[in-house]
Amino acid sequence: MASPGHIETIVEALEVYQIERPLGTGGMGTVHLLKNRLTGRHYAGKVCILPNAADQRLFLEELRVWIDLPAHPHLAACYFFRTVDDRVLIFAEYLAGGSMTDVLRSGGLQTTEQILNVAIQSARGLRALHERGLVHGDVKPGNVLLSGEAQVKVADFGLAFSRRRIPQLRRGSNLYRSPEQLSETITPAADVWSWGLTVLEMFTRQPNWGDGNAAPIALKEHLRHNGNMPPGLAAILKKCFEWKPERRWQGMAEIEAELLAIHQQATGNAYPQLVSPQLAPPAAYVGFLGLQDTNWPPPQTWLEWLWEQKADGGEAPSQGIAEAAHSRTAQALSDLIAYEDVLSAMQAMAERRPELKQKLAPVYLSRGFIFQHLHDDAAASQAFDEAVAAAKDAPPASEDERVQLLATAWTHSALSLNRLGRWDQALAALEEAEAVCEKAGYKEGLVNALVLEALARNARGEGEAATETAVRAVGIAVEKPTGDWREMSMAAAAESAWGQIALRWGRREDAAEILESAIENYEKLLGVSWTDADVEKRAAEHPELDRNKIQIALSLQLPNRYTMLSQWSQIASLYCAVLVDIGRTEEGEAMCARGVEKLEALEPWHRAGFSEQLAHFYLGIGQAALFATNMERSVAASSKAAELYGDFVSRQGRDDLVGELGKAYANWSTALGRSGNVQAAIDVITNASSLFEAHYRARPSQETAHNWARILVNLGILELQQRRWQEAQGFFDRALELYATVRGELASLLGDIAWAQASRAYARLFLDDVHEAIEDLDASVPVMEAEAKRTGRAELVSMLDQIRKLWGDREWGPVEEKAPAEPKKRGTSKKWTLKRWFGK
Amino acid sequence: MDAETLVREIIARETCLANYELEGELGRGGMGAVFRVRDRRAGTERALKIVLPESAQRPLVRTFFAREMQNALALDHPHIVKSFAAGVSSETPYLLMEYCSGGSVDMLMTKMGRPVPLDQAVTITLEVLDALEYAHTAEIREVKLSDGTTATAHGLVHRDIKPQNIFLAEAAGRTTAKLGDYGLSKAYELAGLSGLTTRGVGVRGTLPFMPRKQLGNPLGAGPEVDIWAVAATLYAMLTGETPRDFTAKADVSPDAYPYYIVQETLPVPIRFREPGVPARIAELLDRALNDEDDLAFQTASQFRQELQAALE
Repeated sequence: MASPGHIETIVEALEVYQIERPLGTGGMGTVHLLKNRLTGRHYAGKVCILPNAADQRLFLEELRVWIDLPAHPHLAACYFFRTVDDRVLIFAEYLAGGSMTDVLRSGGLQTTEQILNVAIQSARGLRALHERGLVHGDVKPGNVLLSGEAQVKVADFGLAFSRRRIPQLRRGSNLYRSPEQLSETITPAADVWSWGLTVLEMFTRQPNWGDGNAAPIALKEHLRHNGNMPPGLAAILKKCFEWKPERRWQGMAEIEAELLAIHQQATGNAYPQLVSPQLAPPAAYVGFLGLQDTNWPPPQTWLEWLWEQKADGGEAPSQGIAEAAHSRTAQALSDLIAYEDVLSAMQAMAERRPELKQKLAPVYLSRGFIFQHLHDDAAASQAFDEAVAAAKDAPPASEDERVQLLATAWTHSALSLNRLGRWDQALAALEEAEAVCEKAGYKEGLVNALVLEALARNARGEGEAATETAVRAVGIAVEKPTGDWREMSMAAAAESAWGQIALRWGRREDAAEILESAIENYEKLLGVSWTDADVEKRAAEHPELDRNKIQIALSLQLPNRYTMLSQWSQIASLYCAVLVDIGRTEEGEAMCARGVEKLEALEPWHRAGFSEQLAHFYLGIGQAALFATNMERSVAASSKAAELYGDFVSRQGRDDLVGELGKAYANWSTALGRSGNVQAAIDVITNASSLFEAHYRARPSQETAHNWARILVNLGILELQQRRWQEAQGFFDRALELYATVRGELASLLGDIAWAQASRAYARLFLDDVHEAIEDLDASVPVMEAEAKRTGRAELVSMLDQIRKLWGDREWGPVEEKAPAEPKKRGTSKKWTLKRWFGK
Repeated sequence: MDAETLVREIIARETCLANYELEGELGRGGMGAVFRVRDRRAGTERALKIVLPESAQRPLVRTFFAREMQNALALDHPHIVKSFAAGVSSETPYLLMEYCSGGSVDMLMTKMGRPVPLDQAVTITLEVLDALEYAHTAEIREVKLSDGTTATAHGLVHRDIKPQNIFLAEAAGRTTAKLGDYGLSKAYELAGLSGLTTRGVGVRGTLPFMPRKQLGNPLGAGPEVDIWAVAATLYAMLTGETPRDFTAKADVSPDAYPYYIVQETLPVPIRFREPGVPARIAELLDRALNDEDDLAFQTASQFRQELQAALE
């Protein structure tokens, strides 16, 4: 029996989630309603305990199937998972309407039409599962979820595998079990029986039977005493409750057809057809994701190696999942499963042949990469720790290999720890990585570690230390050049970090210059990178070589196109933001447009791997178009960005993208508002406001404060447009309070503050607080003038125009010390530019 | 700690049990155990039922036991096992009851190894019907409702009448049947209101002594299901078999089998099993046990009258 304490421990370990309430208890334990405190998103969370490798494998196999299910309007999706020790917390879609059990208890689902609606939609959901070769195995009212808008989804938080595997847990839903449920291999016909009972319960209002096997008599008893069931439906249920599975309906499609006819008869209307869900593009190839566009080698390489070892009396691993996935997440899970197999086979072999222990560390490393790819960062950092332990326990034969392994493990562990916000642990890991690299003179490793250190320090607000570290990384990358492409790549990575830091601390011009250099480097690298086509070409030239081997050989010689494209995109979108901020709006937008073009041109399978970068580009375009006062273009791009980010945040648990999502919402609503679409703007901004408020409260930082303040200003402006001065002033007050807590100089901060203050002046004028309005203007106009001149921000220019119309050529501020104290510049006072460092 | 030590501790702890000493174990079930205890001063023997520790943790078991205690203490009838005291002794619920030295009807049947003679079986049945007539109309105070309030209910349905739950008390050379184990009983007047729904109940009771409708809608089960079970018990006493044939071949999984038999087969006419059963008794029982549609007998007195008439 699972201890109820488990979920609390896991949720606590994951930090950003909180338990709202239990949603329901079944044989599989309790499903809880979880809330992500950063995003405010809700999930149904379910804990699976996987004490051993066999369980782990089965679980992953099953999870892979569920995650790979096509997005379907009548299936509650399984989104992502997070690992804590031997436990996995699965995050699934939550519908606010609750389960059918809840709805019945509160008196819902009274009319035949409502009941038929639930019956039809749940039948469609099950049909989709069955067509994918799955049996639900636990259909019951608690697993049928309803949204407020009569949308019905079949959920399963238990995962069928666990029910098959753990007999004592199968007793849970006895009330809906089919006759064959406990003793035989179940087929879709078992779901038909349980679905029938679920439908019956909408009429009986509660399970009036003591056991699922009492279904036939329960139906009969109900019909004897109640006349509320349409005769056609009674006939459907009767055939669901045939003792022999083969005598029941042959599939949910048959039932659906009958239901549609009954619906037509009962209501006089045809039930809407199901819009067939869009399948994700299938994998370009069967096999593994590794290497093509990720940083772990394809597990095939290891599987083959193990097969060779088998000749020496070892055990061969199984072959992983040999079927194409429809999503990259599922494909990554396939790779993970294969690596689990490799690992257990290798561990078994190492028992007899200790020299094989040396091979364990790289396998742990690859597992870490995959977890990282799936954004299960806790599991990733654990896998990297295991890699370190393995490398120390049985050091690889060559010293180079040892250093490289340790450095990679520590650095990537730090990357995950950074993403989890555990800066101290990340810095500790990086210190280890730097020490081992320095000692061995491993330049690439050292630069990588320094880059991450710089970013971690930057995130902790240590501007000077961050800058120094980044500058040091650049210096090391370019010293004693040998002309190898890796040096160029290192330099570009270091410059990227440096550029980000410079931007964060208000050195926009410097940032632009540094990032430009990074982009140039990446573009050169892209020019020489290898792609699928090169692999095919070589494979044609050398038919004796296997494609994996060719890939590995190529990746040693040349940069990988996808890796480079990913780096380039990351920096290009950042560069665009800088350009926009320093008034080079058009260049910025052009940069992003080029990015979009490059990424949209990729094959669907690869493009799916770039949707994050794509979102960054759309965000950039939206921002640039806003500054350039092209509202239509801004609305189009910002809404696209919001859609992409929203998907990451909700469906993949990507907390790190909340800020971006909020910015997209903010730009979108601003553009809507300025194009006169006030109601739509309010709808969008309300989303953004609650998102940022949650984010700020859960993780108060300068950036979250800035983001939320911007939203509050936008809300205020919308209130102004509706002539609600008091409310508007309230929003501006709150925004300015938040701004007061922001130190440093985030991009466009000064202009934002001045804009908020000038907007408040506007509200105050209408509230007849003329003196205070003048105070606000004295403080803000000079800043706006400077910023408008510097960046050409359209909203500042038009605000200044308005003020001039109202007040004529009055001289504003800087009377006394009323102007907002300009935040002190941080970092070194010397002019630091690339030329200074490279000019020596 | 074993159950015996536990009982000794309870006896030592509870003042109402102060004069008792443990004599031996009478039996053990899924959730509880029953011991024979003796009042040292009065010399009388009693049965002490406790909930075993592993079950006492489970809320459902506690609910059942609490209900049994409440219902049992409320009932006072010569043919119902009398309860004297009940309580919870440091987490262990206990119930002090009348001790029936003759064991249960089930034990009687096993001991005899053949059907119970007609007059003895009928006597037992009439006494149980007498008890039911009382219980089905008895006033039960303070029934707990799901909203936490209490109400007074009239009538208690036993819902689990079977040979194992009818006990025989021997006194002064005379044997008296007593209905025991009110663990599943329910104030039917308040059916659906008393907090426990079928969600909690599941299929308790025993399928061979349950009419079909009780399986399909246990909540709606009224006094008539007890009458059906009494008739089934009489059938069992006279034939040594249950009314339905639970040995028949059927192509369903073992888990589903008993449910299949109850829903898909009818009771075997009693003379197929035991041709010696008098025609009028046979006709009465076959009619009483037909559960295809509405049950023939709705009250205990109705069935008692016809049973008596059939004997003449």
